[in-house]
Amino acid sequence: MNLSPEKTKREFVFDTSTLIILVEKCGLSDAFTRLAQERKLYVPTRVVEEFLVGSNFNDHKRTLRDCFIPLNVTLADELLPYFNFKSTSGEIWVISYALRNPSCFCVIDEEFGRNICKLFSINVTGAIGIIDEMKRDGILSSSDLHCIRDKIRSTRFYLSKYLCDELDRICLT
Amino acid sequence: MSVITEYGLDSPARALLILVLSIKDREPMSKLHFQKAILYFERMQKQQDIDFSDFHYGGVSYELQENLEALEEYGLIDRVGNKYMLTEEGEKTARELIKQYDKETLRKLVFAKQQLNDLPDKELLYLMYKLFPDTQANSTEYKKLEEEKQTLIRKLFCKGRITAHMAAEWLAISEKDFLESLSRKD
Repeated sequence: MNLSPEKTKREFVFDTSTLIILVEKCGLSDAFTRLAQERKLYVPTRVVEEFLVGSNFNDHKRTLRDCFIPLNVTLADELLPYFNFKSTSGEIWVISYALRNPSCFCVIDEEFGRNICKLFSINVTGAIGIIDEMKRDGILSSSDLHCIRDKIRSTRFYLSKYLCDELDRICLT
Repeated sequence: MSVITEYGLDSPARALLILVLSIKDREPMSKLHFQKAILYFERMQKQQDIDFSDFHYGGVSYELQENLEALEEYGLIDRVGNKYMLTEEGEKTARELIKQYDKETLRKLVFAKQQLNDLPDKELLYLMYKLFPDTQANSTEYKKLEEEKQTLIRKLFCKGRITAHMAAEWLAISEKDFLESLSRKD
């Protein structure tokens, strides 16, 4: 079966902490503008709220508005027991969307959310996976990648050791 | 007679003991860990098939303990050191028993075991107390653990047992502040 070019392109639904790393800490607004021309980038309204609460820069807000498609997600009730019956964290909304749209990739860095994705056989990647996607699309050059690596390494924002190792693999190869 | 009736596995306590030991590559479990994993599962299911009481270590069940002893006597469960595992007969029985459960129920049980089974006792107890605050009632441990909450919460987050949102809530700070407070060594 031949897939149309649109169908071969991945779709992503983002969690808050990955947006903070990519947009705020790495300053990838321009790269997102280009990525959004080729991919569908979704963000649940709950995540938009979380991101905007912590972001003080208009540039970041503009990136969110121009590059991401806001989603009014219907909560997947079957996920509630895994989140102690609370729907306050961004991940439950991200995973709810991906559960109903299996071709979509969740973009989550936190281990808890990634574990739930694995348990439900949902596609999952993280901030580093998005950087890799930008690299493969030619949006980020080798010098951009080195600069991003330095920024992520110097920020105090949490990334697990596994993700730091992935970052090195992508930036140094 | 089926193995289910032969070993009284129509009792939820017995069935859950066999099932929890059979999942996740049949990882052995300590008494504390299977007690808490089954309690976690029951809370996820919003059911109270097994009688739990709140003692010094939070929710524990004599019903589970009694049935564990019965299953040891039947030769379905064996103890190695302080950990329990299924015998060959226990595994055969588990394969029959598992057919009676739907995928969603088993997924919750796998999750409960995955969440708890490799945690040191302090992290395990603290996670359970925080997830299910009613189990703090008669606890002798909770107050002591609260003194170590900064470390315990960070460890639970880094091991993927709680979300950043939960961690921040338990520490009464913002999620972003929590993530920024973690250093590389975490």
